[in-house]
Amino acid sequence: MNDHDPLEDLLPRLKESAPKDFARRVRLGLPVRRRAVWWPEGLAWAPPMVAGALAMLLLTLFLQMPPEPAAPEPTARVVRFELLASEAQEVQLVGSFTQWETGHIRLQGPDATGHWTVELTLPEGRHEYGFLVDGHLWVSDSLAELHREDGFGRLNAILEI
Amino acid sequence: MNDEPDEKEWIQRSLEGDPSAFSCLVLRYQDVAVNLARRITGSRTDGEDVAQEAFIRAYRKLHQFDPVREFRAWLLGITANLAKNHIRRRTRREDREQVDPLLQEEQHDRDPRLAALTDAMEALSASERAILTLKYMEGYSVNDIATILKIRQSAVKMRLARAREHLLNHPLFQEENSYERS
Repeated sequence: MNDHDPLEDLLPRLKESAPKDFARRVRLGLPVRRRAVWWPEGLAWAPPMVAGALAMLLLTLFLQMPPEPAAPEPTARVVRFELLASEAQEVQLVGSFTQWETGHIRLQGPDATGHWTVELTLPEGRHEYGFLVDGHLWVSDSLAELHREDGFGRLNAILEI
Repeated sequence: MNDEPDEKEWIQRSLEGDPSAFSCLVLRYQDVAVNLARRITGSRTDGEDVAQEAFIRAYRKLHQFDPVREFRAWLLGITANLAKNHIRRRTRREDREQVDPLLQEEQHDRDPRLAALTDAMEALSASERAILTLKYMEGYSVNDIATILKIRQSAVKMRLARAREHLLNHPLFQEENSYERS
């Protein structure tokens, strides 16, 4: 009488491993979920704001040229900004479209999943932005497609419309 | 297994939107998920696609995951369900002839019984293949398998017995039994 189950020996030997690039493939397929990247509290976030404001000022001066006749109407697009920050008390959106000034755009939230959201109509072009959490923490949108160093060791998210 | 603190942290960070934390979960469980999906679909590439979809589904539904449960079992349940749905769609498309073989040549050469076993498993239902894989390759009990596949324990036992009977009736095992008896 032999009670040994031959399947116990053979079936485990059929096990195969995932291909080496499997985790990368999964990563590429994950849906974009806005992620909060918290900067150290000790670092002030003012420098990038000042740099951005200066850049906008220079750009504004540069663009003060004689009016061009019959300029085409720029197109615009509604953009949804989203940040997961369930513990936050307040989230603001700060960017080139606010002249890097705070207090203009506050996100609604958090919802049941901890997300803060706001929808904006932005003109075509290139916009830089970041999130300001609880008035003092600068949060980068790390899942934005493009980023740019602001010269102070941080990254601003870039949105191309 | 889900008691490991790093896994709970990975899940929490994934819920907070950190894909790198979810990648840690992928690296830990990719082998079991891919293997189960390959076994159920009977195809290497289909199995990989199904397992990939299972991880993405798990990421999307992570807020529904009950931390009391084992993440591995929860993931395998998603994988098995997607694999069975995949087979139904594939059957409708009648493209089974395009299915790539599971075993590689070197495995056939090493032990011809593995090739025979693989062939014999193809005749089983998707559910039976899932049950065999979860029991013999992943070591789950009948109770665990019933939970993972969301079927009754009696159904697991019945299908397991039927699958074992089918495999052990293969000429390969019949020959071995006759040797043992003689």
